[in-house]
Amino acid sequence: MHSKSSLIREWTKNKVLFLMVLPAVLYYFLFSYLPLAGMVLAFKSYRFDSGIFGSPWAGLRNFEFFFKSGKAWLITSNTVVYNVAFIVSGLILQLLVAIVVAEAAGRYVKKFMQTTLLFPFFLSWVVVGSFVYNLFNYDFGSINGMLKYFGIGSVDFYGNTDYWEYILVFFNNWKYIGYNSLIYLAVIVSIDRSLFEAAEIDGASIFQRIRTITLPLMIPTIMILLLLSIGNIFRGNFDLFYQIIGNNGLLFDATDVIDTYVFRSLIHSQDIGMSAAAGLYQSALCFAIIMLSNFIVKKIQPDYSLF
Amino acid sequence: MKKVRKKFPLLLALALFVSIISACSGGNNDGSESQPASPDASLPAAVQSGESAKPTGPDTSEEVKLKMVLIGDGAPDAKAVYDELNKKLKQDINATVDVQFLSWADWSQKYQLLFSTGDDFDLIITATWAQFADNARKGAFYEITPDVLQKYAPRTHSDNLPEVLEAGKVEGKQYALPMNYHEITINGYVVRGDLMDKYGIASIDSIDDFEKYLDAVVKNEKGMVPWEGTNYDNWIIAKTQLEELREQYQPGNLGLRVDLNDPGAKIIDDIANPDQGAIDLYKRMADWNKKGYISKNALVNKVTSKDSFLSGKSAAFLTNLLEANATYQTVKANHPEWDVRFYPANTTKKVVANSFMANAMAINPKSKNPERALMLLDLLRNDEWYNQTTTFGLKGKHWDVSADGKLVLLPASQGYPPDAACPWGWRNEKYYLSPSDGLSNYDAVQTSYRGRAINTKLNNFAPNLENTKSQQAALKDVENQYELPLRLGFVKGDVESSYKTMIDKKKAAGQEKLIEDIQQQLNTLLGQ
Amino acid sequence: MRHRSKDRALFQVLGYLYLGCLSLACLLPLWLIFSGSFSSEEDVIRHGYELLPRNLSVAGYKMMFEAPEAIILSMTVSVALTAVGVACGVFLTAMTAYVIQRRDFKYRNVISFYIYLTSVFTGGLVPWYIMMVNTFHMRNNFLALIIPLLFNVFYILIMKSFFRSIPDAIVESGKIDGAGEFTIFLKLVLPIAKPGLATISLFIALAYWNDWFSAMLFISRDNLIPLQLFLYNLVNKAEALNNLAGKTGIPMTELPKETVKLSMTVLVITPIMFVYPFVQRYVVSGVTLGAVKG
Repeated sequence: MHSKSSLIREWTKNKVLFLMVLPAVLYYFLFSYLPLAGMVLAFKSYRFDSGIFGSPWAGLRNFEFFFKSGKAWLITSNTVVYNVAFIVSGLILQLLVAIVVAEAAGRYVKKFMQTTLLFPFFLSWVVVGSFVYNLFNYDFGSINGMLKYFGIGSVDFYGNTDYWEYILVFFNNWKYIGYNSLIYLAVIVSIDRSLFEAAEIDGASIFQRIRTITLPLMIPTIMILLLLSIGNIFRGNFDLFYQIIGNNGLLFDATDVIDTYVFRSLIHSQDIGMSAAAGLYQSALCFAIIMLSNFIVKKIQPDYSLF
Repeated sequence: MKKVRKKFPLLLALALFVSIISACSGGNNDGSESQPASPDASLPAAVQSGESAKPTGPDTSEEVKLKMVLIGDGAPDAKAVYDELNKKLKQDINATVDVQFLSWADWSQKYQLLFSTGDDFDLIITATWAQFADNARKGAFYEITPDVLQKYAPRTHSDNLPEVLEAGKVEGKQYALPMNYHEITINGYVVRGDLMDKYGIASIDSIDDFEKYLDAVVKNEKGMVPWEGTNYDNWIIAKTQLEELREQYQPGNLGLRVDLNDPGAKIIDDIANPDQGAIDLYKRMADWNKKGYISKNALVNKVTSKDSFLSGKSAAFLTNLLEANATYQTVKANHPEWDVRFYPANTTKKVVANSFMANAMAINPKSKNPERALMLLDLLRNDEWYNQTTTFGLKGKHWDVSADGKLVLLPASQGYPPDAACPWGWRNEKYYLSPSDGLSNYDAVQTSYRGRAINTKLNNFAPNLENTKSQQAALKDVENQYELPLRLGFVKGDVESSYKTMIDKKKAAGQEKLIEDIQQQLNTLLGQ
Repeated sequence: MRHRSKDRALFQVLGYLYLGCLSLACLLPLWLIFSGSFSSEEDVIRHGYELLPRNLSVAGYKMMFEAPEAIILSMTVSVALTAVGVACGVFLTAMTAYVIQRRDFKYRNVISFYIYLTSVFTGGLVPWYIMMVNTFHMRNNFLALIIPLLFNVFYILIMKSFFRSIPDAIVESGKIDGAGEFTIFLKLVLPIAKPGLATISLFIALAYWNDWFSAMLFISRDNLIPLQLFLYNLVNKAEALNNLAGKTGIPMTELPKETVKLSMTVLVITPIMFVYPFVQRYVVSGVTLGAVKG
């Protein structure tokens, strides 16, 4: 009763705000919440003639393949570990780029850097995959060419799991550094210049200024981006792993993530119920972790939470 | 002014609604296109009734637009060819057909989606390699009953061999019309004649000869990779050495083999009895790998072994006769001195022809005009003009026939390369022409294989995978991670322990349950 | 004073060193791809990507422009798509983000959660596709390309954090002046949020420019195929064919290969190189709050 009357009060007070958010609410209702009913496919064995709801129930059978192989734990932990490595290294490197570019002197340097760093973002993973192949392959790879030149023997990268954690982390950062640092850069340039000037007059060094003014002002954005990444921590970047590692079984133990495993297992049968099951597994885990982290963040500083 | 501004969000929301609604109605227009609404429908109908003397001829008074879904990227002249076809089709059955090609790039994804929405097409290509049996069981196809077949596809009903139609059945029901063509895939070695002559290798009749050839290349041709061994080669080496040469066969392509000479078709259980032949092959491959016969990049190479061969980087690859012939022709134009030769891997053993279901056509159960679709298929399958036009293009423009009945390609054939615009589902032996210039042993090899071909019921095995799909998926992953590297000799430590690891993983993935289930289905099939 | 210039120098040395390494890591591959796109197919297969082409060849470009009308048409589709997508997307994103960051809007967290949840749980491709095609009739129309990317949770939440950094006082001052909520948003808030808006616009533009997936699903008519799908088809069909061709006995026609892949990359990047500097102006220079307040 109480909440109903408060809804009406809120509506009269903020009618325009309600209307402004209406398109988004409608959009998500139509294009996200309605199809959500399809999640039920994870528990069905799908038939084309009976449709989603008419198909017979399959119980938990669609989840079996995932646990049958005994790989569920390995690929789930791989997915998380890789994502953590991507998030941490990405955060540091991107922040550094944004700060250095913002402080750098020349306008042309700024422009040049931004454009340059954005290039990798435009290379499709297919091209990145063949590029990596050209660097590391045994016959004519550039790295092996260099090693040979310096009298060190060739290294069989593609037959050895030791290197790929680093290679993958490197290329993931390489591809997204320019793109993601743009967000941080936009935050820095929005900072009120007079704050910097005041600090300079007080005799603060550039490092002090960055630590005491720039970074604290960036924390809300950093937190949002962190939370968004954490919310996807159980999803692997399929293209990254698939295009760089491909079907090379020798590396799977070190590089297989949920998405590549599911793809490989189901490419033959194209089973809709089973892929829905794998998706639901990931969604449930993501949901749990984002609720938890958002809850913690909210406890500490409500402003930084996502919702 | 301010008031207008205030109302703006509301207007925007309205605009969004309107746009959604208009999208809906736009779609409706699309849908209505398929409804028959032709003003001049009566004219062709009259022509039709005058032309055909069939007493119980089907009613074709209403003009119909059919939509046919094929796979591939079509051909530049595909539209011209089908325009020509449509002129004739309109006279013959008062219909026209519109072809949609699903690009190779995304067909497997789109193919499934098409069935799930399912109201947009009449005919579609299907095949064992496109999960025919599985899709049929899931209700993807229109059931062609014998009556319907007799009425609307009389020539298919009477002229085609019963075993052809039999192959398109799942659990006794006809869901597809398979191609009317005995296809045999002939796998073998493609090598360079100039290198063979140089190192005194007369012929490649076995894997030992192939080894000698690779050895000569690795010792003498610096900078050349003897054998690239990428994915298709990888599959062929196991296929030829472990199946064809041992007269074993994989019913339904599930990774389970039976002995062709065993009438009971008992599945060979490699968990209980390690496969010594496989271990020996893997040992040989490990040896080749160590000696540098196989590229270190074989598992990851993004370039196919054929392209590598064509560029002169590698000296051999494994493929089928058709591909070998295509390679021969490409090389003849660019590097005639290489003298490309093809040696089949299996020269003495029994041969199992491909299932007729290697390519087929099916009808959408939600099609509004399944009868007319069937009539179209009857023409494509059995009418010389329809069949050859869709296969080779327009006669006189794209192709012609030589005096000895072989296919001669005219310069314009670039616009419609033979067999490229996906006419595979209605391929017909009677009208299929073999190329007039190609490998010197092309016909001899074909004849030899045909002479050794046997019939087996296993060929039409359409397994029900519903109860074992988890095992299937898990095993697919084991194959990728453990079997593929073994086949090309990528092993850490020794072959025997790697083999054992693979077997253990297969066991954990549920291979025994799969064997049990499939064996039962095989018994049922053979018991009939 | 001396102390300050010393640490600035240190900062600059380290900073430029870092940026230098990064730009080398980004430019070198780009050059190799550029050089590879002008190499002959045989050289790329035999020797990989090299600094200079051994044998100059434009076969890759030739193949791509075999049907120039098709590629120009798809480029037009891409440009139109990007323009319309950005215009609608940025406005809607900003408006939504603005509301859900307003502290005096009681349901901001409920709505944020409502929006965010859609990125965690999805109905899956098949149900969504069936819905889009059968219920909303998104097939072979322009809207089918616009709708899937119109709203993005990630952009909305980023934009929300940009708005957050704008002092509440600005909204208050607008209210005191008697301006309506929408006017405040349009006239006072948006101009201050320019760096954020520029960034989000860029992101949305890139998303539309790079998108081939919606087109792959919903478009079968040639005149609505965007550039990326056109190129995607060229690249991927080779691989798909190689997996199938042999096993099925289907003969392969001559395929686009390595050099085509590289020339296509060059083709996709080039327009961006020309357009980006214009967008960038807003991102780099920014706006000082003081100026707006005064």
